[in-house]
Amino acid sequence: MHSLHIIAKAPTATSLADLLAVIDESDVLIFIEDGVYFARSEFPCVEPAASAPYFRQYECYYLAEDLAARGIEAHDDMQVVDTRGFVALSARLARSVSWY
Amino acid sequence: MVAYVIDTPEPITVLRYVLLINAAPQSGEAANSALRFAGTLLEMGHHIERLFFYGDGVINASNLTVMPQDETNLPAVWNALIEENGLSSVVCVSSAIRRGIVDSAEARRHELPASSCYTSSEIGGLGQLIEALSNCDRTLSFG
Repeated sequence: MHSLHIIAKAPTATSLADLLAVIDESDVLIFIEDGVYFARSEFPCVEPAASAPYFRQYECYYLAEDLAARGIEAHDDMQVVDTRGFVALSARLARSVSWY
Repeated sequence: MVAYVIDTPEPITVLRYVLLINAAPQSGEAANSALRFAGTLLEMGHHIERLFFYGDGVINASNLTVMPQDETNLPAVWNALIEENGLSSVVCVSSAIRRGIVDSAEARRHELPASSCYTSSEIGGLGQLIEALSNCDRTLSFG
């Protein structure tokens, strides 16, 4: 029910399965720290998250500072926020779940 | 095109946050993420009801850490943030004493040669986390 999922670890088959098992379509996802690797298509278990079938129906954001720290370029259909945006998301959604 | 899609209009509705910090400053980025989040929260006008340091996170309250000059001493920056903003900061006692994080009272009680906890944080218990959780609008954990 309207939770902000804060994903701080790089994708693995298990974390992806766990995530998909509990997220709801009304939830919002933000990828931070190594979680921003979800944006990379090189991972065998995950397509670029914003466009992948896994996440297409979810509202997804990537933390700008952590993308920049890893030299990952955002692609056109990714939504990028800075820490102020992260705070704003946490204010918008009453509950949060941290994945780390 | 990358857009900063969230434009927060001022003024905002002030919310009371509890931040739970579970990671040590030396392991990964979580403590740094939490610190950046906390600073930004305050800049944006929100209120921090309490910081609660738990597990390895208690190392963030150590006043004995020394960093190379080109690296950030996270405990020192936490201390400055807590002092400058008069924040309530609690360090879990059972996590702390087993990691050598003690204030002067705990040092005396356990007959230790020195204290190691910034006085801006207090050594406390999970009850203080529960109390803060019942008085806040948002809780985020960083680990």
